[in-house]
Amino acid sequence: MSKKNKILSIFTIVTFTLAFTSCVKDDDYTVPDSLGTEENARLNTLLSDIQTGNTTLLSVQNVKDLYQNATPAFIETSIAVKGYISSSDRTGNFFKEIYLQDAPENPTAGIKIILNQVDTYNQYNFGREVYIKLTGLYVGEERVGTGVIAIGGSTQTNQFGTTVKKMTENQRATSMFRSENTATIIPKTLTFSQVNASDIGLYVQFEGVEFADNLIGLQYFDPIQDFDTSRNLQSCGGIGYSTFNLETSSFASFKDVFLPTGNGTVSGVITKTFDGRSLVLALNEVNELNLTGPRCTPMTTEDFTVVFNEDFQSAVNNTILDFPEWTNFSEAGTFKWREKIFSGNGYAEFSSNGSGSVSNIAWLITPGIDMDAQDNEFLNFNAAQHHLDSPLNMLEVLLSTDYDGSNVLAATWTAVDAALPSQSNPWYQFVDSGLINLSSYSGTLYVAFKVVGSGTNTALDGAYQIDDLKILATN
Amino acid sequence: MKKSFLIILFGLFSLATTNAQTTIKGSVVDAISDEPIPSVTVTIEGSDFIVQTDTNGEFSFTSDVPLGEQVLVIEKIGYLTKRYPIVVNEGKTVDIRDMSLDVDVSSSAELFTVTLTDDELNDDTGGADNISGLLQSSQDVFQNTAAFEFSSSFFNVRGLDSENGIVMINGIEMNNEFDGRPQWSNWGGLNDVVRNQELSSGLSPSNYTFGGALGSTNINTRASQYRKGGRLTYSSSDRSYNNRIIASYSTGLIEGGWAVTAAVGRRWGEEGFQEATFYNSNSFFLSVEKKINEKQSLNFTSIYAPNRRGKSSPNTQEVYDLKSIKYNEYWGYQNGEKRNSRVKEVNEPILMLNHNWNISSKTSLNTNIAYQFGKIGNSRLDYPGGPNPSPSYYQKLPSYALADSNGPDYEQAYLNEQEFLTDGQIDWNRIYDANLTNNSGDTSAAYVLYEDRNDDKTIKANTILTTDINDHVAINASVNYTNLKSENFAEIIDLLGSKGYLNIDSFDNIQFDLQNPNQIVGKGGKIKYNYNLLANILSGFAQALFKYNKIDFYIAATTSNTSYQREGLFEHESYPGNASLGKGKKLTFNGFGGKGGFTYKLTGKHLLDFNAGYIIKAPNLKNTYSNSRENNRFVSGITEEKISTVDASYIFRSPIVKARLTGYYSKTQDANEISFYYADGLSSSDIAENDTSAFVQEILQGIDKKRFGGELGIEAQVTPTIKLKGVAAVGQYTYDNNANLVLTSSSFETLENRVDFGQANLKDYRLAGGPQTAFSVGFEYRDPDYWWFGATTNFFANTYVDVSPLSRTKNFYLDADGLPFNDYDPAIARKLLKQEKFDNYTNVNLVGGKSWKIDDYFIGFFASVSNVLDAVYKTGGFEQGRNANYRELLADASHDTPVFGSKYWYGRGATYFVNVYFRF
Repeated sequence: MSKKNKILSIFTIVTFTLAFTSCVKDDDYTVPDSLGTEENARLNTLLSDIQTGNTTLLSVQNVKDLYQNATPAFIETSIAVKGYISSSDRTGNFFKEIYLQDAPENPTAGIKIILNQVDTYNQYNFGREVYIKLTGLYVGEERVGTGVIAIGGSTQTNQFGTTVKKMTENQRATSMFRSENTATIIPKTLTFSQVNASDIGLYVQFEGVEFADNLIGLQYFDPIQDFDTSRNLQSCGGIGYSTFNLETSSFASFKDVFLPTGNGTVSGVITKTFDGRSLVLALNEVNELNLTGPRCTPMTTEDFTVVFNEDFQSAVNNTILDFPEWTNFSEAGTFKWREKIFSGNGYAEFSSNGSGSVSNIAWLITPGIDMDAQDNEFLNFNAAQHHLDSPLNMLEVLLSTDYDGSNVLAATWTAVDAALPSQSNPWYQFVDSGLINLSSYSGTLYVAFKVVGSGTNTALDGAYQIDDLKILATN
Repeated sequence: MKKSFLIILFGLFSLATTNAQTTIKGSVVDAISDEPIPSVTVTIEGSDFIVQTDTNGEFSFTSDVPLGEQVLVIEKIGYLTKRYPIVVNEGKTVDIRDMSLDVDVSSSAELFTVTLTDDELNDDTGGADNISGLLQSSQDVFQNTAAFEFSSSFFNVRGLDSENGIVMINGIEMNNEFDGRPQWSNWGGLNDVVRNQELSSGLSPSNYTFGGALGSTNINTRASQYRKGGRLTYSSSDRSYNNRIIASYSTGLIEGGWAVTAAVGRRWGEEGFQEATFYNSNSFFLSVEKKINEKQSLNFTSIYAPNRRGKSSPNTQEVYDLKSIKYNEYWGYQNGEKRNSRVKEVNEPILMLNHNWNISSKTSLNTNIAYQFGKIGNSRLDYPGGPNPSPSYYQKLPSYALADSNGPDYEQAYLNEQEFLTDGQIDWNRIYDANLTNNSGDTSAAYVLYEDRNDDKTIKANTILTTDINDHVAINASVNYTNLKSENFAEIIDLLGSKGYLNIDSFDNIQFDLQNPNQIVGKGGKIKYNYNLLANILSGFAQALFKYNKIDFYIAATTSNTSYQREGLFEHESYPGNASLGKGKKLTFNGFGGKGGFTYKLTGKHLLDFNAGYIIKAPNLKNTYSNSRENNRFVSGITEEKISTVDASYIFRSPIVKARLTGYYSKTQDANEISFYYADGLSSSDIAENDTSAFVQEILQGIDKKRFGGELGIEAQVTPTIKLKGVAAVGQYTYDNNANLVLTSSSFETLENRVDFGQANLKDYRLAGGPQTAFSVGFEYRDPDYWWFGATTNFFANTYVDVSPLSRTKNFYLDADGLPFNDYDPAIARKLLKQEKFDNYTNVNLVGGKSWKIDDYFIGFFASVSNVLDAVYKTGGFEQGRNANYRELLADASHDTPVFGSKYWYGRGATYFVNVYFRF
């Protein structure tokens, strides 16, 4: 071998040795092994603190109850809450907010979490079990009076009152821990009339519903609006349609999808409109609607025989109600139900406003109705509210078969479920009670409307209105 | 040794050979290998006689040569210049065979590898284009300085970018059809074997091509043209790669008429100057030549230089202030290692066959065919189901919180600042976690890593004729054909733990491919866009060169026919049917070029040179299709681009001083520029009021540009060991009209999804792209003991930000109803739209080395330090396309730190390069 060749060989060897031993890592990456270890460590610390009693685990309702007197509660004690994610911002219909409910099935309370993060769904996915260490956080509302209780990271005072603000990125990372479990969320099945403020944040399902007739051919979002669009859902449970609003954000990816025209089930999260006045349903995913069945037709009064009917058209405006055979009784205070007329429509109304009484309890009781003359009776009426500020300012519907026509408090009264107006309904808007099944009753039945209020507490001086009360029987 | 004596002897011998004509002829060889050296400049000192040696290293002067004692100056870049005294007698031939040249161990060709690392030659890291590669073989002090000293500032000679310079390998043009630029990295890391270069600068004639306005350079890779021997080089640097090793060997012409040259190189590094800019490149070169007979030879060349490297980001000033000029937003830690999300991979082998045929001593025909294939990939993160993963996304920075519409949110600003300072990189763990979380709910990927791909297959063939009609007239002509199929698509390269990518536009749920709606795509699958661009180019070139005693002149013409066609493979939902799918309309462009010039020799010391040219050329592919990723549409009314250019020079040369002073003027007309960005603050009666933000393609059409200025270069060999250099470039490069601006976007519900914004008031704004003023002074000391050093100080001024044309349209001051904003104040508007001029700066570069000769071997060493003073300076930048109207820009500008400030590139701080080699 010549000298030159020798040198060349050495070069070649050196070159290739260097080249192949000098690997630069620039691809072929695998899933990082440290994934989630930090979060797991924090969760384990929290769980052991709960185990040892250093931290108390509260229920979602307990946490909501920490908020009192329109002032956000700053959490200084070692408490935590566990829940399951009921919302998803995958489609953009939720923005920097997450709803948490207390159980995957049959939930009883939901709460909102506000945080400075978008696309939370790919971290706090639907059904995920999440622990929140509440120490250092706040519980309050984002707008005082809406009744939507939220966990936030700080507070501010503005035109909406003293409210909570979003958790910072750091607060989120050090307070919210996912467990490894993702539960299957079984939606709570409700009818429109059953929805109330305690359902906020829960994942619910409505059956037999469809979009209102005038919405056919429209999209989820109305392009002339800036933020949210409400679309009316209707169901055929009673006489005429009962309705509920589906609200969709302008940022939802499905905003331009056309509304389905069939009837079926809809699942979503109960939330409130921005102003806090009305409860609405918000979708996580557009496929949570399964509206493929034939549209429903609501029953009309023609489908029934009217056993009893009071439309209050004989009312004399602003007089104490004195219809024959009706009982108008004040259990507390002096104010009684009054006859009212507005725009030619007569109705009964009770308001404790101006009564001066610390407590008003007013009863309005129908004449006795013979329940033996026919079968399959239903009760139906319309009710509205105005100036209602609190669920404690309450209207109840009660039934009795042993009322003697005069001694109200001596009779046995049973409350029945009815769709009643709440704070979330616009003032003066009559709400259909739905058909309340009375077929199990016999003898003489009395229907009572009992309002609890106060003339001295302005939070309890709202008014209730009753109209178009009917007892019907199927033909 | 006694060569001079021998030469004189030759001279005397030549007395004997009686001839009617006085002739000086000879040849030049490498002192060590004895191989002939082509393209050596041979000058009769003090006269206007200059020739270059041919491929056999031979030259001759025939007519009217000066008589008596003369000095022949023999020079070539990379070799030490020599002066040979001769005696010329009337009617006699002086024949000086085998004059030898020694390799200059400190030559600029070496320097080139020092100051320029290959990534700087490609436009994507610096934001500007670099023409240095074109000029590296120049002997002109001005061009040489521009190539080596100004390169890190992205200085463009005469304001022209590399699109205007043709780079050839063996006569085959290597500029690509997409943007007209040469892809330097295709032959990166092979410095030893791409060193044989011939430059024709500006309009000056080349034997191979008509060339561009900036000139042309031809890299010769014929195996027989390399000096016999081998070389091993090792380099270390902290610029782009950390290590480089190159081994090369040439056999020279061996038995059977064969010659073989081979080279292997590797460049690698974990991190360059900017964070996480890894470098990983191998290079292979093989050239085999077979001399078929005395007249013909066949050469095969293959070049394969796969290259992967991590890119770095341009950043706003806010980001640089919070971090540093090394900050790069593209990376984050994964498993404790820095992972860069933006990787550029170039992997385009070149195969070439060249036939050289010397038909007669006066005529040669060179026929070439080349095939290039492979891929260029640029990776990036897509985030269809997650927030923008960019750590410097504007909403994550303090400025965003301070610009809150409810007044400055100091608390959030502080939190943003701390978060960015302590972390501020891509959170790969969160990305994987998001995808794994989505897997559990059967949701498609929140994030994927994909590559924008250009897979080009190019066939090029040409034949070049060179013939000397007589001693005064030479003719060059060529015919060229190019066929390109360019496959363009996005491909998933890493699912990042997810199960699949939903192939829709997540922003507005539009299907990327209606043929396969809602397709879930896995690794290796094509997403987003998929189309081919087809191009066919036929061109011809003819040139006549005339050489006389007092004047040399030339005239050249070229003509070309270019056709383009797009073939959509995806059917985009916004452009259903043939609008996006299948073959679109075929576009045809006819190019023409004419140029001419002369060199008038007042005396041997004083020369005047003048050139003028007019070029009509097809727009390149990039600027032809208005939105090639989505549809078949092209820029409406598109037409050929026109360039007219003139220059005039005064050249002085004496044995001590060489100088050139040039004035130039060039004008570009009917150019188009297409760009993509996310625009905020659009207002037009055609755009819905709640739709003022959109991802848009901006088509700036019919742009005229004007460039004029002067160049001065002086070098003086003040003593045999000391050389002084001085260079000045003063230019003014501006837009010369108010071009028309059209935006297209699938978000627009207008006819053809386009909105015409009318004129963009760009006239007299400066063009971006490096400093328009540059000065350099330096010296070289060359010790006879083979060590040397040099220092240069460079000063740069008049570097401008790239202005956003949209802000210069009526969109800027008109509200959606077509009337000016009621708070519009022209005086404030003028201030807001004033073009940012970057600070002037000064660079000092040092270089030095030593070499040893041991027997027949050389060992050499050199080192350079660039930007010794660690000056911090901006090399370029661009205005962001957001804030496109007066109100938004005013609101943003009123904050201490704008949310959408311009993005900048900074030059590197002090960096080093060390090189050692062994040559035999």
